Amino acid sequence: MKNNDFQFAKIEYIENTTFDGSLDSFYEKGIEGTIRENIQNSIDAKLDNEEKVKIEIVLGKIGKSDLPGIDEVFKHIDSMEGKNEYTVEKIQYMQSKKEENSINVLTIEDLNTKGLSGAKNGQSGRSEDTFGSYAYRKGFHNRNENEEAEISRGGSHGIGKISNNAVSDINLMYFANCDGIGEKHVGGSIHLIEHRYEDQYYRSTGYFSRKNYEDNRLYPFENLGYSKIFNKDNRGLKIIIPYLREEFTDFKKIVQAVCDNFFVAILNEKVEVEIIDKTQNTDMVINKESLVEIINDKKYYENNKPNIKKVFTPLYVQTLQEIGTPEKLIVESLNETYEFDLYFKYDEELPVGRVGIVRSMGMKIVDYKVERYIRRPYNAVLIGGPKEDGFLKSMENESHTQISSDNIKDSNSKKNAKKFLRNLTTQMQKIIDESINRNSVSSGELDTSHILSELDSTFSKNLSRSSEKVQIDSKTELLKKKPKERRKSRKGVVDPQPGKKKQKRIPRKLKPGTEEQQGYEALILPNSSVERISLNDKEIIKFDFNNIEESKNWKECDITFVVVDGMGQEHQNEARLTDNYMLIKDAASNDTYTFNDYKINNVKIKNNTSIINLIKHSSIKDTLKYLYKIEVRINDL
Amino acid sequence: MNIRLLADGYMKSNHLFEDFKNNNINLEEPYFSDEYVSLAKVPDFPIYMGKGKERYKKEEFIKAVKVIRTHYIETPRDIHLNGKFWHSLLITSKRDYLIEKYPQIESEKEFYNIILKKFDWENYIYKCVLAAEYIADAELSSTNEEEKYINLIYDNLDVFNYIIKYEIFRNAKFLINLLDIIEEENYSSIFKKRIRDRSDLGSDERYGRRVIFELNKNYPVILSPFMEKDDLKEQVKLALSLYYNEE
Repeated sequence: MKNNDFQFAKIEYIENTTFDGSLDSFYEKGIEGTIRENIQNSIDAKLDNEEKVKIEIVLGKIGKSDLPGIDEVFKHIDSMEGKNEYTVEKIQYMQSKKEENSINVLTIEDLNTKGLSGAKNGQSGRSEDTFGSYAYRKGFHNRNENEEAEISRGGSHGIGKISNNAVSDINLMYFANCDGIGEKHVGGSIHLIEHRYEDQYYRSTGYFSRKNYEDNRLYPFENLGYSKIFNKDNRGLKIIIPYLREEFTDFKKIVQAVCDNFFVAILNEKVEVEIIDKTQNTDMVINKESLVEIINDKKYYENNKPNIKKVFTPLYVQTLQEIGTPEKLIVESLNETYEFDLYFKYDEELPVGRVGIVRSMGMKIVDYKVERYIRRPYNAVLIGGPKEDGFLKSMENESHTQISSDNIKDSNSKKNAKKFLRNLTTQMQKIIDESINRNSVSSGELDTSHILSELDSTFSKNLSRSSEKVQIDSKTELLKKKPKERRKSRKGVVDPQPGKKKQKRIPRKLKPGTEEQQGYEALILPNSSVERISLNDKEIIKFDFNNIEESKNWKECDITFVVVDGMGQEHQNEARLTDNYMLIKDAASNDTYTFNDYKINNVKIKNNTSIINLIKHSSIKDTLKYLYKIEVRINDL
Repeated sequence: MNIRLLADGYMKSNHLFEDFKNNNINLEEPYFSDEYVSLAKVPDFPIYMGKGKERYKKEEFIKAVKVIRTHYIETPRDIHLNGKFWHSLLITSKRDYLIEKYPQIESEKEFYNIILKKFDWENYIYKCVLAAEYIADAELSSTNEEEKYINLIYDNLDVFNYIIKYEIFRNAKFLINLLDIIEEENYSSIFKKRIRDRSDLGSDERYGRRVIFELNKNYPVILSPFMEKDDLKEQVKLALSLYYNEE
């Protein structure tokens, strides 16, 4: 096995024993952080033509052997030694991935973009060689203070690329590039901690690259002979993130991340994103047309207005579409004037109001809260130009969730930003006030007759409503709710059997779940319709369907043993039939039935009853309580 | 000291957070009721252990349980098991302590997440109150003993969470027995481990949680909450053996 696919710089001794801090902060942002950084880079790298940028995001699986240098990577992973609890845990976790063979992978590929240039020059250090900066430049994300600067830069590839490492279980990412003259190269990086391997100390970052010992620089490999997933045939960049954390393989979250951050870019047709989940065989194209369908789809978005309190994307999209021409909003700071397009809509049904502030390239920065006007019924989108972008960027916090003057270090700029924010707030407050005044009726008396008030509710009364807990071994007094006395409604009518009501038990029908196969009807049999006898070596269960009206034509059914736990909750997958029984047979014909842990298949029904014999494994005592769920094909009903 | 109680619907008040943040809490506001609870002393205690280093979180938890055990648990259960009481205490009397200790509560989201968090098994005060109550109910022989069990609760917090989630297991004797068993049999680390070879169970199932769940499934055919320690140990071993092989 050759050992030179990944290059770690040699060092004299280990100084730093922790993982790069920005890995954690990007990890916390989840898949959204990764999607955001990559699409932003792609839009910034758009070619100068009329076409839109196309992005293809693919979730899939690959084999370990498809990953170049992976054995070498794990040798380095195995040699790491943690010095504190957190690092130890993280290292063990990374090491535990070594044996995995079916590996989650996410690829993000862009088209109609410039790609990276100057691959042949390798680690040149020249700023025009964007390949070199993207692949090898370190220092941007080593310290948190730089991270802030890094995130706010924008404009070229090389930004926030550690977000790709952060969503990989082993902090590994590759990329494949095709440049303007058709040259194809691959690169990649892994973030470990400083470590000792075969008596040599290494730095924490490894690069998927070749080292030229003459000029001591790293050069990328040509994209030849790698697995299909590394193919990048048209100009642009493809990011490949193997060992994608399981929690980030959520198709829905990726769709949401794209819509939440880039709805403006999508509506302006700057970008179109296709998301493919090969593991689920799902595919979705997000463009100007489909965006509207997605935000109206309950599966992706809460779109009942009174409930929209957290994710405002559906509202922003509606606002942008309904307000054709925006108002101009001019906001002054101490020494500059900034001009924005404001799309503003008053809507009585909205419980909270937000201003979506968006960069001119179409990426949302924040859901801005107007001070003291957080719960006003409006929605708005604010978009500036390049000058405004730059100024807003300087005020963003590292996770882009807030703009604030606190994020600026220089005291003059800080004052300037404060002034700007104050003016923005006042202007927005004015606009909101005006819209409310315009829209509310201000004459006549208030009709309060519908407001009922109850004054005598007391604390202890409220307490009696709260749930009681079972306490057995205690000297303290137990609080018990007194049963309410019920008066008989009519005199002279005597309950035939006081205390004991005999009620005919009716089978409980279950709504077909979405995952449940269509064409089946499911119901829970009442206990009175089931008899169960337990003998030494077997059990006999008789199911009586006579109480069920539709049952006359039934010929066979599936029977699920639903476990009822100590709290009365039902669990469909918790029985252990295979542990308890060797065989399950029809009592009359002695035919054996197939069964899994909780379900017996195709049980025959004769004369509205089924009797089955369950042959026990020796010495098994079943201590579970069951309900029996009957599933019948609807043709039989 | 009198603690003025919040009025029904305080969770939905539009002003409570703003007023708290700006130090404008006013007992005349509609989010207060006219009722109070009187307590001799209301010392500070940590109310949030969701962030920070493991050792720090543990110290905070132990400190909180001890303070609640000593100063709050003698109140009637309808007071110390009611979230409104604790929320009222924090809002009316603990602002300075809380703002200094948890500066993030100046954000509205964190305010609701830390100060006015729903009073259920995910709330740290709730956990600490129940822990303190069990410790008090168990009538242990010394404060050293008490401290030992508070430590054990924290070290097995995942299992503790599951115990308080199921009402049938909420009794001091069961808890103490189970903690003893975990200690005697060295189950603590096994119980915390994720179950990896059973994809049918969901991604975050742990051995300890499954053991508690198995005991729950068998109830009341097997009355594990009321068993003596040795009998309970057998049930625990049996439940664990369904999922865990020694080798």
